[in-house]
Amino acid sequence: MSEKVLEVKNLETSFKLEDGVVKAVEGVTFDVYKGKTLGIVGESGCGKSVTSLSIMRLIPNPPGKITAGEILYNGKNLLNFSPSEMRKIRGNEISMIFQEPMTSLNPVFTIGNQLIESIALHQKLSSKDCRAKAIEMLKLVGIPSPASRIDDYPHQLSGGMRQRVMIAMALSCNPNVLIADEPTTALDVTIQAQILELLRELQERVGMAMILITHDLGVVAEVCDDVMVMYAGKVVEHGTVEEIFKNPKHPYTRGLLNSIPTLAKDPTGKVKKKRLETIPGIVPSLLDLPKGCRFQDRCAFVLDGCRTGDPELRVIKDDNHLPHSIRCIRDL
Amino acid sequence: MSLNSNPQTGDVLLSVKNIVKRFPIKGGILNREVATVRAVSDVSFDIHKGETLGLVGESGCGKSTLGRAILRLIEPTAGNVFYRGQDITKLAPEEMRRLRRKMQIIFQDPYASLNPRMTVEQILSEPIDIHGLAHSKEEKRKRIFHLADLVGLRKESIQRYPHEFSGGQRQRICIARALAVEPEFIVCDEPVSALDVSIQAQIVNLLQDLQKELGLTYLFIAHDLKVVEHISTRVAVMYLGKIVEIAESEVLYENPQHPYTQALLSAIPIPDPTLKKKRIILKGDVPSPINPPNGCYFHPRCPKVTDQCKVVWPKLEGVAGDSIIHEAACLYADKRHKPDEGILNQ
Repeated sequence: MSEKVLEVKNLETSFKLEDGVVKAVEGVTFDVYKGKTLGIVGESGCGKSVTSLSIMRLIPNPPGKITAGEILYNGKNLLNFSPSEMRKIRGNEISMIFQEPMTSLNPVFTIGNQLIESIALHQKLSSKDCRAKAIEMLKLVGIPSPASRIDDYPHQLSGGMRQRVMIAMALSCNPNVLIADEPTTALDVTIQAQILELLRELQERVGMAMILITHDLGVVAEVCDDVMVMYAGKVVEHGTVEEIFKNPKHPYTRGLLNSIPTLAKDPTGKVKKKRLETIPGIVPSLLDLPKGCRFQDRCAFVLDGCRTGDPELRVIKDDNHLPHSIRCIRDL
Repeated sequence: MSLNSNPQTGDVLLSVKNIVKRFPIKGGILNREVATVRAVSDVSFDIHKGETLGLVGESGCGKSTLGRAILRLIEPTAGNVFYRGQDITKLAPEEMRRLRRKMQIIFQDPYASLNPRMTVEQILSEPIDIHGLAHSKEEKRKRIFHLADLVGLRKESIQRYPHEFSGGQRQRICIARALAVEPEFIVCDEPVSALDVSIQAQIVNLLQDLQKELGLTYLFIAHDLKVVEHISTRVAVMYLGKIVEIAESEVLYENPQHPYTQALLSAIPIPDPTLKKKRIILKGDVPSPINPPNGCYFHPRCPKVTDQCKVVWPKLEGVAGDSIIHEAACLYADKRHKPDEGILNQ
């Protein structure tokens, strides 16, 4: 396995709310390798976006604060960096694609303006070279006639094109780590296929490490090497993509996989179900978590032991570069 | 629902004939019409009693506009909609209001489609009051409890406000509101798109249960092809305001004829990492409906395009080998008739 670029250890991020302090992310540990992709999966509110914002040190403070843990980038702890040191990392060495291409671009500046801003900030280039670089980036992400498109405003572009601009911006300084927060959620399937293909191509070419945050397990299966499943702020299952999809062990992961409708002519050979399997109930509020396992109230395999002790993340299989671990006391 | 319940022999509940919706774009000093958005062009289909017709397509292809035009929530520019044989595009507003009892809609965003200042009870009372479906307070209460029960909401929760509910529960409230007037036909406009995966499955199951229990007919609009296949009897694929293919769900997914349908289906990510799929990646974006291309609307992105496609606008026609109701609008689909019957595009 290639070298580790980013190591996150026991990350804990809390938010101070009117009703008390909420730990949005608790005890999250993972590594990201050069040229590989880690997928973070989970439903809204599970802490996947907070994890990525913590890495970028973009958690608004107050109310949020990283209360424990380490984020090591090439061995150095990002949490000890000063704001100006962090600014040199952000966008330059670690960069991020945000979820909504519609709202993440500034509507009153041309896309060229916004692209050039980040290039000029991090690279010592003349303004002419910056523009040339911006055009080159737009070309790289597949925007037709980039030399004239660069002077367009965001509203003149379609959703897929705007997402490409966001990707161009994120990649313009050749980052070592790219965090993509739901990069295709707002897009149609045909455009999603284009964007995923593009990311994969670029990753191969530049060798960057990628964190892909998504709730679409289909996308994970296609793009990722490792998978981490989160639930209510904690990691519940972590392993290689083959292992997680072949042998999902946590009831939540199984529930997620089973609740996706299968196609009649499904290439996976699964039989089409008349009725979808569901996970009953809803995600518990972080302010009002049950004692013990956080998934207990929705779990079909719940035991008395689940209601008393908070299960630890434990390794159940260790024959890959990444051990398969789950946060569940049962062996299913 | 399978191939056995042949929708062709079933009663036609709703029939859409050549419906067109254009939106004018006004501009200039005189505020004259400078261009038109052709949101829906010349769409026709039937929906049979008790079936679910799925409508898929990318954003901006006109699927929501079509859903609303059918209910006359936006007036269609041309064309007719027959509900049980009656042309509803000719009805007076008052008659239309009465008929709306039979035709309801569920919207995509359960966060935006409920009034935040009304309790669930008030939300559910409104349609009951408007259509005078309850004669006493007790009767209304009973009805509301029954509705809450139908969609799986607790009785106590009807005193609460929408913000106290999660997305899935709000969608249940929206469904209960649509059901309050005992409709026969419901347009479901992306009812699960805004929900998490585990909640999506709950709502899809609920919609299927209600259909069985109450004999409902759905027009199910969505862009998630897997959900559509799961719930639909037949599926229609839309592109730039036109239906390019329509068939029974199994047939369409097994044997797609239109290159657009093929590309759409191949783009679905499959949750199996061992599988390396051959994918048709379409180039470019959906063209603007203000200025659609000549000939076949799909030709600028089509991998199988020929010169013929750039001038001829293919008609929706039956496909050989399949049941009569598999129709595709492509010159090179496996046709029963000779492919030279397309109309020259003006």
